[in-house]
Amino acid sequence: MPVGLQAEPSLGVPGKKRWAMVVDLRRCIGCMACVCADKAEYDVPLGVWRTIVKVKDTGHYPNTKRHFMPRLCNHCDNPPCVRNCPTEATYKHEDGFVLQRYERCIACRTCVAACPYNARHVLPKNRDRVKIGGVVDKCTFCNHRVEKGLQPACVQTCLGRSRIFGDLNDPNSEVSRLVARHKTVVLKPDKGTRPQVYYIKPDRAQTEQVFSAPHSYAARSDAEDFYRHNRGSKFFSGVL
Amino acid sequence: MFEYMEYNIAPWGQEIVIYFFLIGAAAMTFVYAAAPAVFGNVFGGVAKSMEPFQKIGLLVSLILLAICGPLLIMDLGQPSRFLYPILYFHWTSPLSWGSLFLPLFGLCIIGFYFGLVKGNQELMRVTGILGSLLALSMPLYTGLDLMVNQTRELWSNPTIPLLFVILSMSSGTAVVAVIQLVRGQLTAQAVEFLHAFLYLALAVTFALFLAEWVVLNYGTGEKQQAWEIINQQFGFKYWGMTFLIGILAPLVLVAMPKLGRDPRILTLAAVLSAVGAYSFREVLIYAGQLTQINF
Amino acid sequence: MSDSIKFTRRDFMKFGGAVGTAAGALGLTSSRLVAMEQDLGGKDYSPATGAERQAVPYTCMACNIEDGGVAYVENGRIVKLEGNMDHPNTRGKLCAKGNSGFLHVYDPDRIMTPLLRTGKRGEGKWKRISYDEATTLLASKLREVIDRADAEHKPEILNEIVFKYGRDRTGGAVGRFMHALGSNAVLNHTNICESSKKIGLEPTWGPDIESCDWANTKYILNFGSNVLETAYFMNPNAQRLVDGVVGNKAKLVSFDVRMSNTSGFADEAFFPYPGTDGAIALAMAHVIMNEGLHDADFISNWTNVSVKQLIDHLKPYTPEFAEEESGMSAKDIRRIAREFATTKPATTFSYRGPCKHVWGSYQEAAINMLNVITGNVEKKGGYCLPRGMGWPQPQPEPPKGKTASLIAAPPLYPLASHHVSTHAPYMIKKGEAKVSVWMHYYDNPVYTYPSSHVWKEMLSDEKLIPFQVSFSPYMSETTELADLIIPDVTYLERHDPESMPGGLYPCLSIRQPVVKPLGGTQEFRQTLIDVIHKVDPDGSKGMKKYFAFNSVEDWMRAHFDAIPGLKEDGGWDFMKKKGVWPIYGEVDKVTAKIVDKNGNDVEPDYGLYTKEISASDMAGAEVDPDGTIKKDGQAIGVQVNGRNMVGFGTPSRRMELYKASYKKYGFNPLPVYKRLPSRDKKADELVLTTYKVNVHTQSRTASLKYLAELYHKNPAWINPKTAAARGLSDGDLIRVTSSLGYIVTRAHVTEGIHPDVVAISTACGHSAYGRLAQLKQREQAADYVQGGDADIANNVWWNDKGVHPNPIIRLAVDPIGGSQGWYDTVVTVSKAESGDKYGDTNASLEASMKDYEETLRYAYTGDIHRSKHQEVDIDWNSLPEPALPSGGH
Ligand SMILES: Nc1nc2c(c(=O)[nH]1)N[C@H]1C(S)=C(S)[C@@H](COP(=O)(O)OP(=O)(O)OC[C@H]3O[C@@H](n4cnc5c(=O)[nH]c(N)nc54)[C@H](O)[C@@H]3O)O[C@H]1N2
Ligand SMILES: Nc1nc2c(c(=O)[nH]1)N[C@H]1C(S)=C(S)[C@@H](COP(=O)(O)OP(=O)(O)OC[C@H]3O[C@@H](n4cnc5c(=O)[nH]c(N)nc54)[C@H](O)[C@@H]3O)O[C@H]1N2
Ligand code: SF4
Ligand code: SF4
Ligand code: SF4
Ligand code: SF4
Ligand code: SF4
Ligand SMILES: [Mo]
Repeated sequence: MPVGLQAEPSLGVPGKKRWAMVVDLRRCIGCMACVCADKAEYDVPLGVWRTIVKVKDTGHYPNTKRHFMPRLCNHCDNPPCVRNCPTEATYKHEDGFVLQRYERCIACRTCVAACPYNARHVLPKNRDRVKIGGVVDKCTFCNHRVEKGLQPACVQTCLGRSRIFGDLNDPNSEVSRLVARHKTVVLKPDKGTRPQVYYIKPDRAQTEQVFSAPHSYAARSDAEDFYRHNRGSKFFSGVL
Repeated sequence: MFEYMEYNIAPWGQEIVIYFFLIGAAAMTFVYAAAPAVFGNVFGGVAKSMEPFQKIGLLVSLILLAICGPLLIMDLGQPSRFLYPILYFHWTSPLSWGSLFLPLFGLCIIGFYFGLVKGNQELMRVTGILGSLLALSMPLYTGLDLMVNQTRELWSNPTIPLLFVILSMSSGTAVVAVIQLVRGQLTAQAVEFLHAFLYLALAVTFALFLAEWVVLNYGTGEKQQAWEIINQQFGFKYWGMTFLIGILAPLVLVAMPKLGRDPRILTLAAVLSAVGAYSFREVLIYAGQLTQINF
Repeated sequence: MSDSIKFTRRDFMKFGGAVGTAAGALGLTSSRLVAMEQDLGGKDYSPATGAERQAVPYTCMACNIEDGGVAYVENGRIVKLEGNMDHPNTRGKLCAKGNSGFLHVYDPDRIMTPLLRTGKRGEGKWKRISYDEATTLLASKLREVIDRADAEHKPEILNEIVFKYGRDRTGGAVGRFMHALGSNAVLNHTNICESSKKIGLEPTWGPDIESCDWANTKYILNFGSNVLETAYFMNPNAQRLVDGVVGNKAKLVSFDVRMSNTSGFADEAFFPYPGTDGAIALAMAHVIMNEGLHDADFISNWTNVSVKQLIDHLKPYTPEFAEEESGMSAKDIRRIAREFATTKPATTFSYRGPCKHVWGSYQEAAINMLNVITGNVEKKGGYCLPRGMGWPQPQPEPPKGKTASLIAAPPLYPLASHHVSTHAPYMIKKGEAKVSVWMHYYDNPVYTYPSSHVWKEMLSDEKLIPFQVSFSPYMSETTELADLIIPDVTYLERHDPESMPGGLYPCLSIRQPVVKPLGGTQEFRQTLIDVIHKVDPDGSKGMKKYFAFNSVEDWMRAHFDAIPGLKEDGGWDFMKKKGVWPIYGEVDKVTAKIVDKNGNDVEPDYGLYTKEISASDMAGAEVDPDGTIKKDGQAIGVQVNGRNMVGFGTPSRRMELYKASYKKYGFNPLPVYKRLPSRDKKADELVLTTYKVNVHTQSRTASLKYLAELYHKNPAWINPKTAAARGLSDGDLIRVTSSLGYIVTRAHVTEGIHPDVVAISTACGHSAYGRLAQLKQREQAADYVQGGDADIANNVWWNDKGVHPNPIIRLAVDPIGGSQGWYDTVVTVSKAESGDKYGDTNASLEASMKDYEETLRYAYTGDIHRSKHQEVDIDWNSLPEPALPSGGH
């Protein structure tokens, strides 16, 4: 039994909810609607992301393919980000959400270091609408919507209906049925984090792309610009 | 559409490396300064050789600590909340423990100093033992801070805390050696004392370095990736600064029975080992983060 | 989805990793057995306070698909957009642009007040004035022209009042305004958009483009449309396409010259040589007809050609011939043709790829024919007619102007019913048309047109364009050149009636102010009312009565309150509440199909053309020998096998594969393939293609931070072989040189492109459009903009705004559809020369003027036209004379 969590893992526990997402990679068209809906919902600033969709091209002309891989916090049932947090600013909710208490977070970035999925970021202080800054933030599985009976924002708008959300402890929910009927994978299962974002039918290229460094000049030069922009800033003391 | 990346930054930068180094040095400096009171006559009373160092050692330790605390606080996104890890203490977080121990350690230094000035042996013994344990906990917790990241394979092994303790021994020895050499108080006995510790520290560091090398080469994909990153991005720091300058060279120096006991050579070796202690930590902290930067 | 895949616990553990006990409890009894799933949308709550956000329905206009949306307002500010769950085609979902559209409202560089130019044209010196002063000034300029026309008794002078729009979704307001003023000089942008698609299609079956039944189809041939990113009806099409391909296991075959997201998703992708889709489609038709895979009944009952006629016509278009032209192997052509013809239902979809070439209309017609000969038209899962809905215009309605405008309807393009706006600057420069007042609305030709520098030159010339007004809320490359700016509001702050055939369920929708226009800005509709009231203050000019609206909302009521059915539901007030009408049902949580209260699918209507004509409508009608049913001289239907049916929107009420209108001007009445000049380029040359991306709209989203963050630069795609032959590597600085000049950009070496093509996307490389689009976000804001957004000022991390290709794209139009051949410019690509800087652009005006003369030679009166259409059996010496359409356009 994992220690240091505020709520026990709820997967498979009767009477408890275990919110989870299934990403059907056959259906993702890389439209990026999810990315923008999420940015709008939370006024997510430039340069940080709660969710992204990675893109990778494979093959040789004329046999080429494009692969998309949506990514977000896995709301791990055994989240390493939670145990190391010195203030319990990040905590595990009994229904499976892994959440942030901004008012507690000291931005020590321990949780950022702990998350193997790079699902966390430090909010810059200069924002547009929402003024919270200088603390760590992450995808919340839209718990404020889910608890009011709604789908998360990125699921709501997903053009391909690639993102499916629901209670995995309910055997009749769509997520349960999808996980039951399809071969799914989770990311880095070997880390023992018990991620709760399940991917249907990933190609090898898709699972590989999440590990790979930018390859094209277009992507590399963006990465360089990104690091240049951040260099010398508080949370970025010249590692890269 | 091109390949699209979420750009990530490695969360821990230079401040953390400096902090880890200084806190280790502060801790071991204190241990040396407290040694006469703590060990007294054990080991044939060699610890007594540190008596002339006590006052200045405590002062240096306190100064280092006074740099460390604010440095760490400055590094926080919310510096004004620096007490939160204690207020909202989370027992599974090494950082919480660290934040608790750090001020206590500071109190011990002050208490010991007080005892020293007042000649209060009992106070010195209590604060000395307690302080030494807390001092040990400083490099230990910084190592644990990395080690408990089950998901970062370069860090997630028990040698890291041990290594950090050992490295702090080297840097602490360097502090003592330099100060005492400058003050002309590096007596034969003191040299013997420091030599023993440095030798031990370097030998263990050497062993751990080799172990790390084997582990990274024979390890999982992520470990091999870490090895690649170390060699590509930190080649000079790892092989040059850490291994050659920071481990091998001082080890050779201290291993030579005569030469190794020459106060100046010993001090040189200690300083070199401190350089190694710094860059070893730096490489480990950075490379450990970079394995996942593109994930 | 009900065919349950066999599932064993072992598999589950293996792939599911950490699922644990949940799996054991899974009941796999019925796929319809649904848990209390979360709602799909329709509400939103503040993440900070948990308070419910106020919901206001609207219609999206972040691009031109016009999806239904709901805007959420928190503390008087629009914070979030979402698809309208009641909109049957949008189904509650918005694309990336749609989700980001509210940023238009809060764009820090949005113009918040009317501006009067003080410096030289284009110099950027402005004086802030009030809406009242601005409309008074515009009215006086218009009145001058009107008074002159009246004094000289020359109504043609009124055509010196020119209105050019890119996107007009006002539901007739622009036409009403111009016609009230007496001018016919209304220019749209359709010829740079998709007009040859329409001209290839409309004569065959009536207005507008196909609406595919993606969700129910089994086979899709996609020709040069990037439906998963762009195209007409991107959002609704993409949703249903995925339902079809993944849910219904349809096969998607895609043709593009580069790997778009659609081609990258397809089961099979082919890369034809640019401009050769027509040859492939004709060869497929050849295979289908010759192998007897066609639907003989449909051809004989519902088209104006016979099977034999088609077989004869298709004789030269063998797969081997098409292979020679396109590079697609004859074997593949045969295989795909057979699959397409034998898999039912099937459909094609095509958009700008095939039609945006010289003679693009033929290519479109050839693709359309594939659906006709296989009988897939208006079938469930097939190739369906568009389903739009209309609304009445408020009465009285002004008549058109008295004389046709030469620039609005160039006579050399009689078939181009969507006109040829690209030609305007050339005609004006040559003195063929005079301009006194030029107004532009939702239009940015200085960025979006081919040889865009020609527009810049013309609009900068005060002799040619004495007075120029822009209604844009943003300082675009074109608006920069205006004398007067009367800023419109954004689409979330104004009223419009809408209807788009974006799916199989016809519906109406609206735009309404989600929030009060910010900072005292005024919607365009009100500006039009004000201007007319000032041009004709006492009504003596007879104009005011057409604008006798007390408010813009009254104007909306006039559109909606009397529509039968809607009237009973509450008319305009219903629209304000729901945003869309009719409401067909709700979106099923699991299948995303539209279902009624009982959970049963609400099927769209199919077979529209087979709708029977009622006995009462038949009263007094006559049936022609060919079956056409006519009443009062109008064709109202067609009799087939004894049944009286409405048929298609053509004179014969059948699908007119044979287009008599084409033949009249020496064009081939049946679909043919014409080899383009770009097909004969030299070996070291490449064909330049431009394309749109999923997260940007034309010239207007580069200032939206979420979209700019996702996509901000447009290096030139080039195949590795092609790059290697030129000594180029990925990321190299290159020169792309056409006969007009060159741009300096970077190479993006990728396997996903035809070796003879270089592709540059059109969304980036602004020289205006606010600070973010130009990456000048750290500069001081102008005094007339709204400012704000610390996020943009501090957190923009990218450093490359791209290079715009349009200055080097040659003017070349399809003589039939009048459409710009965007993909016909031949270029060379080489390493940049010393001294070249990224972004350098150099384009020659003289060369562009020559292109204009050259492209006229393709028009029906031109010599190239004649030499390329020897096969058409007409009297070449008595072609109709070029004439202006009578009574306006
Ligand atoms: N995201 C987004 N969506 C939009 C718009 C937008 O700006 N952004 N604009 C809307 C408008 S106004 C329009 S007109 C539509 C346009 O929608 P589309 O026509 O789907 O998009 P385009 O990018 O203009 O061109 C389509 C494709 O044609 C390919 N192509 C070029 N030459 C050829 C050829 O010879 N043969 C074939 N087979 N393919 C070729 C290009 O590579 C490109 O991928 O999109 C609408 N939807
Ligand atoms: N190279 C290349 N060029 C292309 C294309 C391509 O594929 N490649 N595609 C072509 C196609 S398909 C099209 S349809 C055209 C589109 O080109 P345009 O018709 O020029 O349309 P936009 O770029 O959408 O927007 C025009 C202008 O409208 C103004 N505007 C924005 N919002 C508002 C508003 O709320 N109110 C008012 N009044 N004005 C507003 C802005 O000034 C903006 O610049 O581009 C064409 N150009
Ligand atoms: S994905 Fe990362 S942030 Fe999310 S719960 Fe798991 S470890 Fe924590
Ligand atoms: S950054 Fe905040 S949430 Fe993360 S570990 Fe530190 S205090 Fe906890
Ligand atoms: S679940 Fe909510 S918070 Fe998480 S990525 Fe989706 S929209 Fe963002
Ligand atoms: S919205 Fe859905 S289909 Fe679009 S990119 Fe995101 S996950 Fe993929
Ligand atoms: S496709 Fe996207 S931008 Fe265009 S109308 Fe639909 S939601 Fe809006
Ligand atoms: Mo368009």
